[in-house]
Amino acid sequence: MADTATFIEDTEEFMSSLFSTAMRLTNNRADAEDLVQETYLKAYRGYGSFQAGTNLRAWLFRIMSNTHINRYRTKQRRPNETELDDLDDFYLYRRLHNPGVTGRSAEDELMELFSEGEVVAAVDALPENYRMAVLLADVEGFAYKEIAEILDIPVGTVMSRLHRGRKALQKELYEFASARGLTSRSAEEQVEQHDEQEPTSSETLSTD
Amino acid sequence: MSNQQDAFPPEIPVTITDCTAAFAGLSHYLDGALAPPQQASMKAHIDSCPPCLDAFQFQTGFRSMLQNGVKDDPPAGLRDRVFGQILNDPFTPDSGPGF
Ligand SMILES: [Zn+2]
Repeated sequence: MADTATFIEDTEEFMSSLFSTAMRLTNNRADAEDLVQETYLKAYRGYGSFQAGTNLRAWLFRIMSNTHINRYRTKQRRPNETELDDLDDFYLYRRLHNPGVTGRSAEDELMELFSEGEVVAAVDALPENYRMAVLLADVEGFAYKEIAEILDIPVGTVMSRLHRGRKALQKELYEFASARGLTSRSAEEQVEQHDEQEPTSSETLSTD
Repeated sequence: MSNQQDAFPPEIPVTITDCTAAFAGLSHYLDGALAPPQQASMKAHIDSCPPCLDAFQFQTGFRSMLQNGVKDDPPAGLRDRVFGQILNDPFTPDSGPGF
């Protein structure tokens, strides 16, 4: 049983981030719990094959990714490639950033523009290949090489999925902002408008 | 830890001397994927160029917003369920081949 205790001790700290990622993969609490549970059971049974000293967190994410693909993956939505061609990583920066407002961090500026529910909805709207790459890089902070190993794809593919996923994510968020009419107003008005609407809009948007 | 050569983006100049190069390399810089000399010259450019610093802070803020937005705490019972299943599993880590 000593080995079991070691396994629990070594892997316990990663459950939160595995669960968050599982939520965005399955978009369903019960499925996310099942996915984490199955990931841990497989990891436990395969722990003998884990190379001590290598990246345990990446190894667990790899097991979860494979488990998800085998159990849950349905039809892949084909992203609209041409629609993303003329965009870059600075899509929101160029369109929504207001450098004139001082004493406010970029994060505060962005959080005034988008509710948490909108961020989640924009992530969920990404095609799964892109979503996984963006979650692993931007949320979990894995290096390209680690993502390549987790997803079993070449580093070049990681970079292109990340690039396209980030563009698609920003475009999705921009559409939320423009649906609220925020993009045609001055930044000061944007902020006021959003503050007034915040309680109701975040309520309706964060369901699910 | 990662092999920098694999991730080295060929379109980014070795020395970042202007804003165009800085913008082209900014995402890779945030990813920690540039080769060490590029990483250093990118930092030097951002530190001395207010518009690029502004873009850097916006992109960093965007990632923070994303991280906060998708964070979901596991339900209270999950830990016990996961490890309870393992404690009851007839398999032990060294009793056979993996999955
Ligand atoms: Zn510059």
